[in-house]
Amino acid sequence: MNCYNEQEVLALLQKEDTQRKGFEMIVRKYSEQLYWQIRRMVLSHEDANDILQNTFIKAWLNINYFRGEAKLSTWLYRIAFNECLTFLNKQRTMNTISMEEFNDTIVQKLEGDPYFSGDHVQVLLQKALLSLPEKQRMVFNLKYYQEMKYEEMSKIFGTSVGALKASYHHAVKKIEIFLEEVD
Amino acid sequence: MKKEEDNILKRVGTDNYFMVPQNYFESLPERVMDKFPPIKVPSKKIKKNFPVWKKLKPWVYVAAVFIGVAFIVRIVSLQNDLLDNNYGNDILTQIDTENISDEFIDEMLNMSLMDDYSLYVYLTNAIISVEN
Repeated sequence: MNCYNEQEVLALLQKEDTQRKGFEMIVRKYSEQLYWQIRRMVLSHEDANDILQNTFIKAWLNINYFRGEAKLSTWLYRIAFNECLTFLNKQRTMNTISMEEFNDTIVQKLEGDPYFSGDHVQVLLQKALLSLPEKQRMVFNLKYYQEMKYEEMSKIFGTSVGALKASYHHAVKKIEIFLEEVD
Repeated sequence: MKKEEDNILKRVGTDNYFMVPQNYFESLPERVMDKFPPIKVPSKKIKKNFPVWKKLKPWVYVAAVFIGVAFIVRIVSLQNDLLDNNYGNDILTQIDTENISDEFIDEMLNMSLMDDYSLYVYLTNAIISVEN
């Protein structure tokens, strides 16, 4: 996908006969990066796969409302994170157990997941991340793993750069404390 | 913050320990695209193809009303003209009311339609002639 050109893709989306082709280029370009961000939020491959597909279906159905004022990636991240939040909220409301117990269950599942190869420290990191508020976790993942700029993040979350910096700072501190405590 | 961030980096790094099934990303676009329902691109310029009749309909109605009114006016004025012409041919307008006899007037009143004005003129003249 070295030939991906956003302006060309947007032009393809404008016409009914080339719309599918244009959107397929978007899927090829963004599916992997979106998948990893979703996966880090929901941890299970099956759930991440479902959310990613829902993200693209929602984007496809609403592509005519995309005005091109923001980058396509910003728009897709926004949809993906909203889908993640909806999924996590639904998952939480379906379980009557406490948040701590719920997070323990997820970590236990992760340890037995054939699509996770992390060691004990990696499991601890996931446990630390689960203790963070969801948006803070998203900010941490985007900055720490993807080195996304705060300016771009602010477009995704609709939050100021200062608030995002503070959010990341809090997340880093909490994770460090968590990891120190379990040592 | 840099210090805390470095500590995390040293401890856990940034490697990805999550995995996906084989060829997952390669086959993903096809699987995703297969699920998409067809959608229609709304044209930016929405052309409303009204038939010519729909465009002309209100004007035709207005024109029909005007023609109707003009027709009625024309009919009424024609009738008035006819009445005027008939009035000119009326026997009462052709003769001098002062010279006609009372018997003739009685007969005319009984036998024909006499308008109010002619009757008034006749009666006035009759009164004047009596006074004189």
